Amino acid sequence: MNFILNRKLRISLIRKRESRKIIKIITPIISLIVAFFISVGIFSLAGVPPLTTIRVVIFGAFGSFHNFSETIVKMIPLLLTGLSVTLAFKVRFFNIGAEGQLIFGAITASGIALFLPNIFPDIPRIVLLPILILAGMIGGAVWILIPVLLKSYYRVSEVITTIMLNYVSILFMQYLYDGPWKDQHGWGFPGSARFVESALMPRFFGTRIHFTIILALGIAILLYWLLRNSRLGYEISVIGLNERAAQYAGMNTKKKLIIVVMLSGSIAGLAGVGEVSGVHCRLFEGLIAGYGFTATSIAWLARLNPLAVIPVAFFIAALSLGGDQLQIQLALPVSAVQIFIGIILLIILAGDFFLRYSIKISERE
Amino acid sequence: MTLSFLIPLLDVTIRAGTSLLFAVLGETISERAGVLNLGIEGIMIVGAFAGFATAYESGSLVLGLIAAMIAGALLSLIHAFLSVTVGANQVISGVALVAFGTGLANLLGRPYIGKLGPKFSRVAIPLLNKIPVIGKVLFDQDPMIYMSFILVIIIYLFLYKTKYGLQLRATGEDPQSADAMGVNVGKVRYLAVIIGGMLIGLGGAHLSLSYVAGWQDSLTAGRGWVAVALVIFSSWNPKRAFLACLIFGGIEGIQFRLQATGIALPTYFLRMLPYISTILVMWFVHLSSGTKKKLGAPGALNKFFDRESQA
Repeated sequence: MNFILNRKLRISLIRKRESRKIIKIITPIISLIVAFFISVGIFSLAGVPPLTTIRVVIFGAFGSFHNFSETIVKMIPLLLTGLSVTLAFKVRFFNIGAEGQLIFGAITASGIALFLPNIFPDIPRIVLLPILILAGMIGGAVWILIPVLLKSYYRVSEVITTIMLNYVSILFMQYLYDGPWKDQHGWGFPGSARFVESALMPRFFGTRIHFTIILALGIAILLYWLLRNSRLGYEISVIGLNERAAQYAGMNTKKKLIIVVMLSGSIAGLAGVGEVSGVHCRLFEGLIAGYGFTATSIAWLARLNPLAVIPVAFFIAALSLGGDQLQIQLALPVSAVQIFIGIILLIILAGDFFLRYSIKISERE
Repeated sequence: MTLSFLIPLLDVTIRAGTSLLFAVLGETISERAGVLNLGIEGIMIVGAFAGFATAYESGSLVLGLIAAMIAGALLSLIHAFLSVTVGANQVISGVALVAFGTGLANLLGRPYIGKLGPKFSRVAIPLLNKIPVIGKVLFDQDPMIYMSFILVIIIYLFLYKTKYGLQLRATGEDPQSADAMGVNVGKVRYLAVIIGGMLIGLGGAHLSLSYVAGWQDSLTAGRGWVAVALVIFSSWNPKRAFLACLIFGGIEGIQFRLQATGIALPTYFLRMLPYISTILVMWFVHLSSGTKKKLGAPGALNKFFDRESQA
């Protein structure tokens, strides 16, 4: 591919055979930085001075021990949904519905948390919490079941079905906390009644960092191991590369796809459990945070490596928390963070261009 | 009695379906050239915002429409670059555009929430509007709706009856052969994505300048994704797109009528209707056809064409 600059110079793009590993690591980092500055530029269009944005974001995320702990709190659902999407993308299932699965997982867990203690008033935390976690994971898995069945049996695009179910889950949640699960003492607060103490995740160091973080980190390591060393991991990579070849090799790809995708849904569902039982202590409007897109961007930035999802989720969490501060202090809308998410993805996609090509400027003869 | 129920219902059907129709037509052009643009939801909302803000500030609806088209073209240009030049993953690029577009429109749109701006009013077409029922429903609407009717015909004729339309379809069906025929695949794809984006932008403008007539947070509410599904439902055919959008306009119409009658079904469930219908429609479409080919999908949809590796 050639661009002729002027009469003397010519810019040619030369395809590289292999890109070096260091470049693969550096591009996401550069993408993050560039995306941050473009976003700052866009916020300044909306009337927020660039330095104010930078100061508010950085202080908001790292300014004090409390803020830092809140960054970790924010990181938990991002890490889990990022892992969920990573796993699904590995089998080429474009699950954009992490938000829906998170919310449905939160709904099933909340159902247990709100009503099981009515039947068994003395149910101890050590019994109730595992039931909650299981319920949430099943909820997330069930919510992704329709898209994966439609995909594997009828070839219906999972992108559309998972997104449609995001909207449905949000409306269903609103119906619940506005109707049958309404908080009788809530004065119109957009959430259910508060859970009993035994339905709440243990927290650490007097902060809101909750037990789910250990599960999340554990799942990241487990997935990394699973994908590299296990038979299932091998099969996942074969299905991801070429589904037909996998079929010829005698794999039951349909069954494997359904299992892997349901696992993906259950991880997002666990994120929902963490949010209701660890952070908000109720089913709450705040669960609607565009996790579907954010998780997609995290998985892509991490290049579908479960261990890389950990630092990426941390950085995105810091920026989201900073974004929350922007929203509170400067009255920017919640979705402003989505600008940043979108730009990161666009830049990292464009960055692949430079991974594959090198630019050469030569003189024309 | 039945007419007094039917006419408003059909009227809403047409009006609710129009923004979808623009978007579906735009996406059809893009996908016919082989580029899957999933960014509709983001392009639409930015178009809606640009249209409303421009019309509000200038007082001119025409300028509003132009702004919506420019906004749509610019956002699609990003997608065109990533999918045609870079060969990036088109699904991810589309998702990125949705996140970016939604965030951008909501951020910049904040000062315009609740403001009353100019809006398209109904212009009856003489004589035609006297036809019983149909006259009122089809020929006493706003100018953008007439524009959408005309676009269905123009795009249909363009795609199936002109040389350029053939080239565009060839590009989406079999880029290697199109290239061998001397068609500049890259150029055709760029143009298709950008023109498609302009139409999608207009779809957004119909929401903010006529149907909803105003700006609110997340105005498009998933309509862009519904449009993606309707392109498949209509087998990438502009004529069927018209019918598909009527059906979905109708679903929205029924939803409103039911809400108005005060039936005990909670509004949350009524609002799920378009989303659940979309899933059901996608299922039925695939159920009745089976493979991708029979659906009528362009052969090279969502496939990067790399001219250099062809040699």
